[in-house]
Amino acid sequence: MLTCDETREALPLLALGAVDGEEAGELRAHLESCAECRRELRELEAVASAIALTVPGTRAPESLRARVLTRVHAEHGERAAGTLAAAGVSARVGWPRWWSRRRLWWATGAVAAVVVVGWAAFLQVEVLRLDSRNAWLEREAARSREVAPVLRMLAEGRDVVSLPMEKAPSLESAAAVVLWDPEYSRCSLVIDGLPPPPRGQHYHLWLWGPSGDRFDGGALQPQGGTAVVSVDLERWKRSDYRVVVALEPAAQPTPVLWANLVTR
Amino acid sequence: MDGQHASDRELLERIGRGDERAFAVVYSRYADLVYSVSLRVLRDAATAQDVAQDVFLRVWREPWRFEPERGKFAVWLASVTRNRALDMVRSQGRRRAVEYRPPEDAPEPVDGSAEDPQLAAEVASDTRLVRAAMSSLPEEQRRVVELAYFDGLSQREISERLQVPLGTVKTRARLAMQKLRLTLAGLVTEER
Repeated sequence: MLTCDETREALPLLALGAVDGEEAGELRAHLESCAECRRELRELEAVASAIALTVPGTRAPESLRARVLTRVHAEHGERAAGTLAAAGVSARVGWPRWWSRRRLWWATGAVAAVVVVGWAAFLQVEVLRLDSRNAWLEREAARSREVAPVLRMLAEGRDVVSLPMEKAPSLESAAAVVLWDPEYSRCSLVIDGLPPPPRGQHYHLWLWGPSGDRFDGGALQPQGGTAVVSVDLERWKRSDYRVVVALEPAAQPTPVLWANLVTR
Repeated sequence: MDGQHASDRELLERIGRGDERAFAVVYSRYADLVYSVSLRVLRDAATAQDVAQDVFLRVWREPWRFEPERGKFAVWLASVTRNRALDMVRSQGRRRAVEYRPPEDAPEPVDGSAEDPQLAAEVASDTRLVRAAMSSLPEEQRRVVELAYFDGLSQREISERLQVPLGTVKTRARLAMQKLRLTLAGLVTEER
């Protein structure tokens, strides 16, 4: 068995790979039992490794790059195919690897597209649902705004004038009344049993003045045949006028509901 | 290129996950080094390319073989290349009777990566350090080291080639390695 000193004498050449044969065997035998010499050898091997950096620099041929990257790409394809096979996914034998890879990308893309489209559709439905709900809430809020003055007039015990509205024959079944508060120049129309308007038309509220002037009260939006509309009559305070509900659009708007008010 | 500023360690981790782009970056960084080392040992361009390819495929297949705590990736890679090239020499039963002569047109140090100036500078700095350390060795010591390391000659073959006693070869090798060890201590223990 070699001593540590004898071993260390030979370690530099061993680290350089220049010791072979029987001597190398003797050195290995000593190293197996000597941690200190093993550590010494590791350090010398590390130094020897750095010697490789002293080589003259030479550009690697471009063709080598193509060779290596192509080979790696091919091995990657095999690895992926092996993974798929291990996962129970069968691959079509005989198809080029790039095609399998491309198919994988397409499949991934297709799944992603389906997910995106599905999600977008869901969001669209949600948006529509929310829009619908918002519209309903807005209609309800509008109705409340229309109904509130009526309730206030009644609740406050005002001297409210109740005027049943005249009806055209087509609205014979409807019940319509104008609640008029002359002191505050307000009135509200309360209509029930209003039939659906003919296709392409809607009920529209007007205030007609004695000298032909007209105030547009907007479209009626009955809910289940019921409509409540409140109107500020301030500008009509000193004139007679007619509250009119007409079907529009029409060449000649014809009142289907109306009531004549006379301001004080 | 994607990942060109990533560390070698990060790139190797990505390679372990099958990232071809990371591999391409590593190739770009070290192709010249690997090819240069391979060519230095084999002195044949075609065989040198074969060995370089083998080395890079090994990096692709077994990136975990590099142990960062053992030193820099460039050093490890160059060492692996040298070992593989020597294996090729031995498997072909080739032994060169003619000693290696470096090119006369003072080649540039291997740059590591033209796409990463910082890394290129670092590798070039390492290269200059090792070259300077080797250049500082007496000629007879340096020849022993080069014949052993790059030509894969045994101590007895070196003795015959240089026509000096075996004991002289051992002494020259020991003195050379002692000096290199002092000079390169930082290089062989750092990790990028």
